[in-house]
This record gives sequence, C-alpha cells and structure tokens, in this order.
Amino acid sequence: MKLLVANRGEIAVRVLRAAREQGFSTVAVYSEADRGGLFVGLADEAVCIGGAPPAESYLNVAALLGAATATGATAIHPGYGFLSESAAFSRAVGDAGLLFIGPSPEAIATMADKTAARAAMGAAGVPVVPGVDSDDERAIEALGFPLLVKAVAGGGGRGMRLVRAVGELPNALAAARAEALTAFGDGRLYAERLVEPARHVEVQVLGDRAGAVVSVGARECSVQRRGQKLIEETPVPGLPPATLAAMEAAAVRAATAVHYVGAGTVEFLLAPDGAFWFLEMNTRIQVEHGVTEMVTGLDLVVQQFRLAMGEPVPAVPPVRGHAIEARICAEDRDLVPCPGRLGRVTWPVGPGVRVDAGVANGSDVPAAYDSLLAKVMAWAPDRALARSRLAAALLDVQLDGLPTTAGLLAAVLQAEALSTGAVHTRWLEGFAAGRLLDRRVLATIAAAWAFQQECPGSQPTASAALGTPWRTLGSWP
Amino acid sequence: MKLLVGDVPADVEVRGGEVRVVLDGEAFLFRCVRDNLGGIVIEGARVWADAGRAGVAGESARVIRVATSTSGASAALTPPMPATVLRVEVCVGDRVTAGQPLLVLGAMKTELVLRAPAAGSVRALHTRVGASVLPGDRLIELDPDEQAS
Repeated sequence: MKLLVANRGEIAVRVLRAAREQGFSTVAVYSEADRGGLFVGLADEAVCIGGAPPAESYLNVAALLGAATATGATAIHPGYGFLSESAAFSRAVGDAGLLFIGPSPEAIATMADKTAARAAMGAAGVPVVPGVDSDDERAIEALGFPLLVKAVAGGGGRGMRLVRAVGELPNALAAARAEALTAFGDGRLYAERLVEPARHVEVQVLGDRAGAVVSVGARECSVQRRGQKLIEETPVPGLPPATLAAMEAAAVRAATAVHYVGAGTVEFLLAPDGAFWFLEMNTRIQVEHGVTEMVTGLDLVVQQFRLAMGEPVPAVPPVRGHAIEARICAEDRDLVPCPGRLGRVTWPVGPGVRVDAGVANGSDVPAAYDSLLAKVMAWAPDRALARSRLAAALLDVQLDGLPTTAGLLAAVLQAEALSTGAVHTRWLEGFAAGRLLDRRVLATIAAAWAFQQECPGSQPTASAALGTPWRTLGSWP
Repeated sequence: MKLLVGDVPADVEVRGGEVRVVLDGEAFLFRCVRDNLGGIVIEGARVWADAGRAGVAGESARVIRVATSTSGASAALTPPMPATVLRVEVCVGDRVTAGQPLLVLGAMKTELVLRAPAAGSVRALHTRVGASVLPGDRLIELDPDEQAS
C-alpha cells in the first residue's frame, strides 16, 4: 500500500504517522506555502502540488491525482476539511483506480446535502431538528422564531444566520443565499428552529463493507465560538445512560441508512429536557477523534485503513476514564486568526497527556489556511482530574511569536460553568468577552518586551527580521 | 519607557536584569535572565517577546512603545510587512494623542493598526486608501509635541 495524504498540518502528521506504523509507503503533498511544513518531512516522498490558495493545491483534484500517478500511490486519505467530504473527489479517486480512505461517493453526497441528509434521517426514523427543507419564506415563518437559516451545501458551523423576528427574514435569506453561493457555489437554503440553549453531542461510528455499523461512544463539543469547536470531551458529562443509548442507536441507524463504510460522526443537538435531534453527519475523521481514542484504546485512523480495505468493524472496547481536548489555534484575544511565524515551540508532556501538533520550532503559520496549530489532550480516571490535568498542560504550552488560544482555554477549563456542565454552544463568547488579563500577567508581558528591547541578547527572536512594528526613519529618541 | 500592553498603559524601566513596571497603579519588580538558548526567563517563567508582541504562560498581548520625550524632529511611520492601506484615520494638520490609530493596514486577511508613538500632529501623509505599501515606505510623518522633561 502506498498512501498519499491529501491534506496538511496536524491531520497530515497524524495520518502519515499511522500509515508509517502500519508499514505503508507514504506520500505527502504540499502547497508552496507549506514547503517547510512539519508534515512534509514525515513522508517517504513529497510532491509540491501548487500555490498557497487552496483552490490551486489542496482542492486541486487534477494536481492531487497527478501526484498520486507520478508516485505510484495506491490509496488516498483526504484528512478533514478540503476534499474530505467531496463526493466528486471520492468518485474521481475511485475512477483513477485508487483506494479512497473514506465512505462511498453516494454516502458522502447524501450527507453533504443537508436537506437530503435530513430526508434520509427522517426515513430512517432518526429525529431531525424541526425545520423547513426549502427557502420558502412563508413556510419558514410558520416555523416560529428564533430560527436558523442554513446553507444546504454548508456544514461545520459555516453558512448559518440567526433570525430572531419575522421582519429580519427577507434580508437574512437574501444575504445567506449570496454568502452560500460565494462560499459553497450553491445558494440553496433551508431553515431549522433554533434549539437554545443546546448541547452539541456527537456519536462516533464505524461501518464496514458488509454493512455492520457500531458506535464508539459520544463526545461533547459545546465550548465553541462562531460555530467552531474549541474544547471537546468524552464521555458526555451528565448524560443519562438511557439518552446515550438512544443517541448511539439513532447514530447507528443513520450510518446504516447510507451504507456507511469507514469512520464517521453523527452530530446531535441535545436539549435540556433530554430531547435530541439529528444535526448533520460528518463523513470523515474529525479533529477531536483523539479523545475517543484515549478512552477506548482504538486507533481510529488505523480503523479507517482497515475498513477501507474491507476488514470488519472491530469489537468495541469498554470506555475507560475521561478525556478532554483543547484546540490550540493561532488567534488573538478576540479570536481573530493571526498568521505569521512561530519561534520556539515546546509541548507539555506527562502521564495521560497527548499532543497532536502540526507545527514545530520556527514553523510558518500561513494565512491561507485555518489557524489550528495543535490539539492538546488529557486523559484521567475521572473528569475532574482530566480537567485539571489539561489545564496544567495548557500552561506548559510554549508557542513563541504568535498569540494562541492556550491561555483562554486554560481559563475556560477552570471556569465554574464547565464543572457543573452548564456550558451551552453560545457560552464561550460571553466568557471570552468578559475576560480581563491578570495585572501581573500584563506587567510580566511588559517586562518581557522591554527587556528584549533593551538587552537584546545573542539569540535572534522569531521576527527579528521584521524590525519594530513601526520603524521610525529619522531621529526619534 | 512608556508602553501600551494590550490597551493598558505601563511605565517600564530596565536596569540590567531588573525591570520595574508600574501598571494600573500597581508596581512590580521582575528579575530577568537569559537561558542557554537565548530565551528570556522572568521569575522562573519562560517568556517570549518579539517586535510587536510578548507573552507568558499561554497568554500574550500586543505591545507598542509610546515615546516619552522628543528632540523636535519628526518621525515617519513605515509598515512592518507588505500590506494594503485599508483606512486612513487622520488628515494633515490633525493633532493626535499617543496610541491614537493613524492608519489601518491589511495583510493576509488580518488588520494591523499603526498608532502614533507619541502626542503630536500630522505633518504629512504619503499614502492613500488602496495603496500597496512595503517596509521602508514612509507612510505618514508626525511632528511630536514638545514635552517638559
């Protein structure tokens, strides 16, 4: 097996390592902006497939298949994001005689089209969020407010608009349609009643070619901003066993309905009264898959390889302990992405601590891609210990040169709301907005900057090449 | 030196390895040393600092310097990276305060605000909205206020 990984960053590192362990030959592909990327050096061969813009490289099907042909690759793993949920890519890989490490084009297509997915779920007896599977204004009004207008071709928290009153609806529809057309090439919309406050709970499933589907536990992902997850954990705290069983059964029905092969995740919204509804299915490996691995001992990427090659679903081990993950992103205090170059990078280590990183000392963080640098995970026998272990690990994250979410997430883990399970999907925005940095921390930062200015020392720092942020020309004391 | 850490003013004095900081009315004294790789350690905690930012223990903040005295000469501001001018917030002749935003540059989907290093007035503007600018380009010239020492 010669595996080409059609992705970058931390997931490319993850898949390449798993492939290497399995004895596969490996091929990495990279854009011009990722020439020095950590993942590039991990493969047996590496091929530059185009310029920095994703359309020229990681979304460029012709270039990807060309790289596979040139290197004699026999299989392609799409990672997450990019083309991982493109039915057309899945089909093109198969047509090229290569093994696609993922589900069939039909399964991907059904789940990628959010209204087709909702229809398939309804037919399979899986509860769906009350909604309207068209953009008919009158039908949407009848849903009742507040509601969410969503893009049929969207997903992953993108292409959504909140509409609180009937007067806002026409403009929201027009704007959402335009955004969807630009972002996804498809302006179709649908609407769902807003379930708020809601917990975002997802179920990991595995399916094989013989049609067997198993569930491998549930994850809680309610600490989010702008619809993107930042902290995820498993098992789901405070979830009654009966509800968990019902959700896992619904997830298995969902995956079975589309003859799902591989690793996938069925996402649900969970209301405070225990009612739950299908939100969407992600037909790929997810960023947060590692927490499931830590409590089950399964390697989900290796399972992806096995299932794609026709092996049966594994026996599901019992869940042991608790695992939590924090996503380290290159973002400032307002959670705005900050590309640039990292200086020294040091990761936490210790019992029950796992780091999946896509960056190392001196790594560039290109502006063309998302801001995720690494995932820091902690496992412990119980949730309280896992939380404090992860909080301590985050304080040991050293990423010189760029602002990151490490400090914010350490504070989040210590927040009271998290311990009582009172977090819902809009909680983080309020917490981050109200957070002031400790005066001593600010003073230390001032001292560090001043010391660096006045006593530069012999070692150049990360962006010495840039000079001061506004270099003065001419005399200035 | 006078600094703005995030949005918080700080008075900082560096004397060899001892740094005094007065921030929000509170005084701090830090001992700073270099480790074997040239990194900075303050009171046992590893910190980092580059031209526009510094951090400790997972937190970081933007830092800019506000000049405390002048020699009467004007200063020109130049961008730290190739960028596009998104907004010009002042006009020639405007009086500005220390830290006041003068220009907003866009580079790689992020915005960078160039701020006045000290109080003064705008002597000249050498750019306009939409211009592509490079490090070394003089974008704006300021006449600093005379300050009593």
